[in-house]
Amino acid sequence: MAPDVPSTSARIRSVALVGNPNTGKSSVFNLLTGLRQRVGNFPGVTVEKREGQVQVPGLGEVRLLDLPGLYSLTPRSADEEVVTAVLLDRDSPLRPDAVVLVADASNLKRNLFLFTQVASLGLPMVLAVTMEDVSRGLGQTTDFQRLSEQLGVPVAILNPRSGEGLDELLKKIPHARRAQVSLPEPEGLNGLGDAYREDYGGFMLAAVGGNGQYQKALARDTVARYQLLDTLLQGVQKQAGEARIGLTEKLDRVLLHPVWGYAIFLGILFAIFQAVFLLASYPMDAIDGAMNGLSSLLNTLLPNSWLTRLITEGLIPGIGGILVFIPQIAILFALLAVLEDTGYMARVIFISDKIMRRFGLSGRSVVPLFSGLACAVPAIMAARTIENRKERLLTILVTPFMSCSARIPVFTVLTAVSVPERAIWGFLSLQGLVMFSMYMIGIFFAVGSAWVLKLFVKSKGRSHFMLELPYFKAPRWKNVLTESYLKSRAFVTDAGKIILVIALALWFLAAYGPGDAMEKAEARATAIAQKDNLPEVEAESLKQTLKLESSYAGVMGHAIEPAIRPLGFDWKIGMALIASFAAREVFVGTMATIHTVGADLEPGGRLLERMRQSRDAVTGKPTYRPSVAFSLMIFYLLAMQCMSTFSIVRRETNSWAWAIGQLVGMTALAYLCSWAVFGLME
Amino acid sequence: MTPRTLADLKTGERATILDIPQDELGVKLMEMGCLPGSDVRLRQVAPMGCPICLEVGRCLLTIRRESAAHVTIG
Repeated sequence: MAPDVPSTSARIRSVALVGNPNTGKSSVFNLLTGLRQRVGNFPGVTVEKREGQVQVPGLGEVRLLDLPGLYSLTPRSADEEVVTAVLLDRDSPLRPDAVVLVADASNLKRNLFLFTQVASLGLPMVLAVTMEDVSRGLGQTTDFQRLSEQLGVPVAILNPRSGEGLDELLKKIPHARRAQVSLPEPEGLNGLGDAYREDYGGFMLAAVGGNGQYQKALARDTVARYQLLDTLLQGVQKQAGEARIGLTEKLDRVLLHPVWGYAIFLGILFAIFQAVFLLASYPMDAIDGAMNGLSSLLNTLLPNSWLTRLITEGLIPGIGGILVFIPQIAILFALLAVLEDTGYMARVIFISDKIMRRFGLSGRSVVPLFSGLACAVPAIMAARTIENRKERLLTILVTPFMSCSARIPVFTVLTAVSVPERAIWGFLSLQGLVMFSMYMIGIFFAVGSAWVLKLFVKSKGRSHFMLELPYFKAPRWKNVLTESYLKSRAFVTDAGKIILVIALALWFLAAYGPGDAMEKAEARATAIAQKDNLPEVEAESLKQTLKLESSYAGVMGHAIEPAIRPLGFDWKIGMALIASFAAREVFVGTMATIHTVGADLEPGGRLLERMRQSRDAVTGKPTYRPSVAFSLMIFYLLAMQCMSTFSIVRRETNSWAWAIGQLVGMTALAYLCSWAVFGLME
Repeated sequence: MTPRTLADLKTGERATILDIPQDELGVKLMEMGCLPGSDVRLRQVAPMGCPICLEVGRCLLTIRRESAAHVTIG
């Protein structure tokens, strides 16, 4: 129809990819832009915005924007709201010059519903059809030439798996056209007719969440669009024979089974854990070693000055403290991406919704809670997909209880110090069991606190759980790797910056003290060493310990000692607590500083030995006896010691009150539980 | 007799949608292809009875039981 509409190519500087979820849209984006893409946020909110540059024949560099998948322009969750605003609002600075609408050929009509809506916005479009092979496999035959004529826009057939058809798509972008969809104005629009005709985007912005009259208008509009599609698609797609029961349905009979479904889920969870721990340990050791090596190398090369110490004792351990988490985070997110990409994650949401709702959460909370096992920052962002505001808020509030990778080194050190290396029943490692129970306790507190909080959080607005189960497919490995890379990069930029700043601040607090306290401590150490005739190594160690006690950090540790005595902690642990107030992983570094400061900074075993020998200055008992170690582990498990999480919660809830409430609440709970654990075990 | 709804379907049973409320829930269901006159099949029910998975065309749509109860079928 009407092929004489002028081509709009002269003005195309930016193109947006729009389409339903599970159409392969993001793969198309990844293929077109590679890793040159930038992940940012939409202005003012933290909805992920993926952008990249792409060379289009005849147009040159074009900005490509990947919008999260959606079914329609009526948003159903927080992230969709932002996306639809980009398209609907004529004044949005991000509004693209043209749209590539990605549609799944095997479910064409439903996918083209969104097409008709975008067409009504008056944006020039190209239709990119994916899953053509799947469609043929189902016995569907599609006349794409006719489809292109009916819609009035160029159509490109793509295979995001192989990259076939990408060049064809690029060639068609300059020929993007306004689609020829003429809709009969739905009946009963009453006073809304003008708005509907003149500015469909403005009408939609007003209609979403609008009163009953708007909802009725939207309902009629939806029916009218499907009727139009029935007409347009006549003779375009034919279905030969009855669709048979496919592989997906057979798999679902097992995966959604009341017994096998959960058993398989737990099995997969266990396998993921094993994989994360085993696979990540090698690169982690390598990073650790490299950082220690770099520190000692620079120590010998550079002159002995405060700047050298800032670099070797502050900066490098700080950077190492960030890098060391990357293997676990990257592996866990890669595995989660596999579950997501194959379509299994949607099944997990499906079988857990009923259980999660008892605790005031949604089936969709499973993804954030899972991701929380790696890092709470991207996990809390993942809660955006939850339609219901109350369920989303509760998910955000409890996700930090999930034991993230930053807690692992804390638990590792403390179990190694306090739990004997023994096997029970011949095969279960006692230390491993303690680690595992920490995870379980974290999960227990996450769902338990959601259950309590749901009684106090008021529900605002109704919304409806709605989830499409994608058909099973093999994971697209390139996608998986890109996902994992981008999430890890987000960790480095979001959490990493804060960790680094804290590491530097901590170094300063431990290296300097008020007035001449440090000089006095040094003099005292020299005096004791001379009097007791200590060998040089021990004298140096004593000097460092006394200096640390006199430093700002030591003063602060002493100051809070009365408050943490009931938990079994002395001033040294107090220092570690202060240091890890904003990032809990700093604990191990602080332990190393406290117990091995000075000449013999050996890795690993030496620290554990020192910690085992350490005595409480007041009681004379071992500082890290089991009661203290467990109390400390519970504290680190439950307390909100993560500035990055705090800031992301503030952004995502758009409320200081919730962020501060969570910080105070979690810390208070941690204090109480640690106190109870110490009291019971002592 | 109260009209049957999607929530009353048995696993594997097919039905035709008669009426969908013209509210937020209804609009979203219709956008997903559940329109008056559409054929649906109850494909699967989650363990513990909720949510349910409907097959509408090629779409496997899962909704909670209380949402399904708003859609009348024939």
